[in-house]
Amino acid sequence: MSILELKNVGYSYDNKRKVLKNISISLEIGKMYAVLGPSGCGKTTLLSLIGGLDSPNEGHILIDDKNIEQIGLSYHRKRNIAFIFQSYNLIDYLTPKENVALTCKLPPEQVLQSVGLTEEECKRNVLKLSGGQQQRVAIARALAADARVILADEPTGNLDEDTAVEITDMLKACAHEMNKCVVVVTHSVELAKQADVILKLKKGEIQVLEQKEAGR
Amino acid sequence: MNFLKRAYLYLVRKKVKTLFLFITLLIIATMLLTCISIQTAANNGVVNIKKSLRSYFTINAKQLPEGLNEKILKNILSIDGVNGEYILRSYTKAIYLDNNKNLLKIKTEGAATIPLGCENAGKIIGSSNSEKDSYFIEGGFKVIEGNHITLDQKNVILLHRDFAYKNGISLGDTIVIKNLENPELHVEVIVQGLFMNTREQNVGMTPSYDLYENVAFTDIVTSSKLIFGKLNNVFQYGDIYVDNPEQLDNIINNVEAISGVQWEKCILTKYDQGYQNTKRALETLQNIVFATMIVVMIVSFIILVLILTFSVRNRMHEIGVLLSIGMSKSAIVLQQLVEIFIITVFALVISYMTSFLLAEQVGNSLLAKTTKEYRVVEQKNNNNAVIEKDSELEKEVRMSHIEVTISELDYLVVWIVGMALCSITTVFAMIPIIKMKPKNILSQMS
Repeated sequence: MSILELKNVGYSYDNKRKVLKNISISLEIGKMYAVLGPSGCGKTTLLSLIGGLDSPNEGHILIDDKNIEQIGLSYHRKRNIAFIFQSYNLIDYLTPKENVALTCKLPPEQVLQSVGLTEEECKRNVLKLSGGQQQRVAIARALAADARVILADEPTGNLDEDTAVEITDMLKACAHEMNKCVVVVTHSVELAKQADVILKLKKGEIQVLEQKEAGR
Repeated sequence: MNFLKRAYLYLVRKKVKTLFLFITLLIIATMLLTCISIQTAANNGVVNIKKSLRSYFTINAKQLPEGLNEKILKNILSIDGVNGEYILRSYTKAIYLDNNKNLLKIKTEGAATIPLGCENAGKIIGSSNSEKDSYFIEGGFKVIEGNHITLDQKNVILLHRDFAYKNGISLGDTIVIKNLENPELHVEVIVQGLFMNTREQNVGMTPSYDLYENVAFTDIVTSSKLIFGKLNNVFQYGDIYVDNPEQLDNIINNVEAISGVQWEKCILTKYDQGYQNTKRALETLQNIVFATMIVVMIVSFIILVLILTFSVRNRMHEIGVLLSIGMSKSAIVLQQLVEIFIITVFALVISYMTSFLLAEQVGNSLLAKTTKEYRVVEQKNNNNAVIEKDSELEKEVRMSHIEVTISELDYLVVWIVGMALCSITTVFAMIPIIKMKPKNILSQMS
């Protein structure tokens, strides 16, 4: 079922360099999308537009057939979107539990346990956790937001291979088991292979490289 | 998690930053409260000195042959603004005799001149209150036996101790004083007290009758008889005290409007220099403090904006994260405001104590200024004519202390100003962030 739709979306920096041109794509619940592309091609920009951090210069982005600009970008971010970043972006003076509680929709303890953090780890200062643990907290925060769309920008970029695999599996589970729409921007081919749909951004245009059938 | 809880957690977990901001705000609040308290104290000081630094005017009726009498005095005392306090004075020279009409010896050693006819004469000062005479207040004279002369007394005299001892005179003895120029005018007086000088006389050109040992004080009735041959209180000089030094000019005009006196032959002089000097000192203090307060506020605003701008830039990461999870900009600004409010409240509470300790020290050191009170001193020649009026420093009124307290109103003003300053500077510091798109904030983060 389609939840997000991009219609003829275009974006340029300072009205000069056009980064995204005429992007039209439909994103569905229960699928994980990987967005590949060379550095500077606009992957993060695409994610920012979908997540309501910025507005497209052309076209619209619809969620449940409603223009996100009309429903309010802040509201859209709060209700519909959860971000996961490469550098985790946790708030350093809050514990994992408090970081997760920022989004406030689901009980933090349960969510943190579901991502594999112990009670003791939940009470530590986030800066004293490993990279993998911090990314789990970030995922827990995204899950606790109970958002239908999870946007992940290079979520395994700072992690070792084994941890990257674990995180990838979690994202897959978010899509398939929790029925979220997960969009992952990545350079990692291994991660991209785990996605249901692989998209490629090149010269501002998007194309579907691979699409797995239902049942995968 | 709401912005209140986030604000609380930030403050308790980022202790160093919180403490730094707290100390900065404490210093600002203390300085503001100190300035305001000193300003208020200086304002009160101006009011208080009107009462405490007594101002008066002197009527010099020396040139009036008939002097000034009780009726005129009564008219003067009835003028609005005259507080009823006065000192009457008269001056003459008299020969001293014992009760057997034998001449008493005066001191002549050290005198520049012994004028003809003054070989046994001394200066007589008739006074309604000898204790307030300048010889006793500023001249270093001190009564060592007996009592001072007051308004209700008559036919009494205070003699210099050395003069009394030289002539074998004791308390209670009777002597005669005879007007040097008009020997028919003489009065029998009882020695009521003996005085001495605590400071050496700077003799210079002093004639014999002006040597300290030869000076005597009588009551105003005696001097009235001695000089004017009148039994009631007639006097040459009057020091009339007023309630409000600002009214002196007006009061003097009203005195000169009293009929029956040749005011053109009299000299009326106001003495409020002490009040004016102290008032000027306090007004200068007020101006300094006011200027300091403005500077403190401007500098505080700039410092706070810089500190908060720097702090907000350092929290760009946190702001970006909060925006990305759907927090509104207003909620983020509110968190910052709550943080600054909490710190400000603590700083303001403690500033009450710190400024209480500081205000009095600063206020007094700023006011370590001397006010000087000048008196006109008459220099007379042999013929009793005024030849010169000299200003002579006779009295120093040192104003080194002001009563500094922190009133509720001052404290409330500082609270309001402090809170307003912090709110404005916080919003000011947040403006650049608020104007940025979340994407740009996150770009800066990465």
